[in-house]
Amino acid sequence: MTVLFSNSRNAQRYRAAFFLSLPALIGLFLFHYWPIADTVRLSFTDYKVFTGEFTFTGLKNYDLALKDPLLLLSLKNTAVFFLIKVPLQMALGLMLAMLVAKPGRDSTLLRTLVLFPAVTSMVVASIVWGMMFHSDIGIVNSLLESLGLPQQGFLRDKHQALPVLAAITIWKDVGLSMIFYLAGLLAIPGEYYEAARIDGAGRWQLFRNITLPLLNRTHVFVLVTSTIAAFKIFVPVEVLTDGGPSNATRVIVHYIFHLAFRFNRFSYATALSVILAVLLIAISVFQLRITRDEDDD
Amino acid sequence: MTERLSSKPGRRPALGSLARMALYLLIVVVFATPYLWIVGSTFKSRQDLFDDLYPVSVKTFVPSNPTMENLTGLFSDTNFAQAFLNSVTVAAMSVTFAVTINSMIAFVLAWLKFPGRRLLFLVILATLTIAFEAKLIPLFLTMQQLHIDNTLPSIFLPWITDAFIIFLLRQHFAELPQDLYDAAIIDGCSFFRMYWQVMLPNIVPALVSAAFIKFIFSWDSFIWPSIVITDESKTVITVALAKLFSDEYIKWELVFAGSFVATVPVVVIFIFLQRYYVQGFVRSGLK
Repeated sequence: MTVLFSNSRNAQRYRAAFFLSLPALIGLFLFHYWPIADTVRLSFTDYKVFTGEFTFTGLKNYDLALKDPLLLLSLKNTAVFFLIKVPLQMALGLMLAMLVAKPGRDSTLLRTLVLFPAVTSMVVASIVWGMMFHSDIGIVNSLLESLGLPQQGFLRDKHQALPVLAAITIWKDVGLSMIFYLAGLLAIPGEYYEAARIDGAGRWQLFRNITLPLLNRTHVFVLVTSTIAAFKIFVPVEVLTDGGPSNATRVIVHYIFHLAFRFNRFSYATALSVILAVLLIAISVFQLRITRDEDDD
Repeated sequence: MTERLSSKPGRRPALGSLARMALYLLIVVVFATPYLWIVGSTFKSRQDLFDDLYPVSVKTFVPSNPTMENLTGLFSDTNFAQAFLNSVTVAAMSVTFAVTINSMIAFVLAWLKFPGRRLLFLVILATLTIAFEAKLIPLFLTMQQLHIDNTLPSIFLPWITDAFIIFLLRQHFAELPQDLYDAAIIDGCSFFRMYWQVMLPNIVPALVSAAFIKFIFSWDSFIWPSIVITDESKTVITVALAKLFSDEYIKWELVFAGSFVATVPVVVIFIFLQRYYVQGFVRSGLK
């Protein structure tokens, strides 16, 4: 290979490569690494909006965070939301993938339909489901009435609001989980099933001993990505509940957002952003670690 | 595939297929109802909209006196036409810049062996691990300091460099045959022409995937535009819709019409580009 190039050709190649990479690298540092570093810096300061001045205050913001009951509550709500959403979304994603893995027109249509929400904006998904679950003019309560069942508060009920938000986001996101599972399913060699069937394995055994374990990599991928998404829930809360009723849907990103952009508490909000970022990385690492251990068994 | 995932032949086939039918029906109802409701209600008068709700029937989804007044009202009484146009502009710019710029660096990462190549790739991928929510505040303050807040470019500029797209396209570039590269070198092809004329035309499907996924991302974006844009005339469709929905006196018929405008064009495009969308995610997710 190298004989093909003279030194000047090499220099010309590196120069071209430099200019081809430059725009993306500028974006990377200007709009990613620099703001991240700045988030960390701001979290150690007190920012005055009116003067635009920063005063260094050390760990004060983090100290405040430790004593902030609303932070604790929003973390708890976020965790509950994650616990409702992620297992359900994974189970439903796998189930849908198994349904549409069978080739045919039905499967293609079903797959397309389940992916519609993935390309529908979260604002629209929130609004339309918010109206469906509306306690006065919603379709769901109308159906309940027709069936002679009691009307529900849904988003206005402090016990139901968070599960309803989870249902809405599952509806939105399950299509992507489905296609990841579908790709995983199609990669499992058919011979495994035939061999097991010859040995007399039933359908449940095939599922339990072949499908589930061979999808391990897919489980990990879907788990980690959907966990991160669940911890960042924001749009349906902002559009539908604004953290209510009585703080039942106050979640971490919504809390940070409101501290910063409604109450101008930028510095404190950045400290919470840092906490969130560290938490998310820790959770991802933890999930990768435990799933890898399972792999070794 | 067909055989192993379908029910076993023999015992109780009728029951199995009946259960499967019921399951299909349930899924269709859950996923199609919101769209049918949006479409049906968009073409109903406000009065009909409420009258047809209790009890739920075919009438709830099919307008008995179809009208265009919600759509015309949406475009004449609100700033929705402007917001729609802004969203289209932002999406078009975002897609064009992102596909160009990210494919350039993806090509370099795939075909130029230089010291630090792996490190650079890692530095790019690491951006995927940090939630963008964590940098919103400094990003917003920067836009203010640069005096480009409240402009359309401020909506898409920060998201042009996209690690996901770089990863996807690098993968596709790297899979092109060495022979293609060698033949072009022998012909005296420059490195830039190698990218532009030799390699790029060979990964068009991946470029379409990247473009469509970026388009969806841009069309969906809500948090950042709602922070960086305060001027009504620069607003985008998601923000305009959320505002319509948060008015004290909600004009429900306009909310439906707005949801219709924000959703239906995208869903129709998706029906045609579905393959690219799915491939884009599958190829980048599991390799």
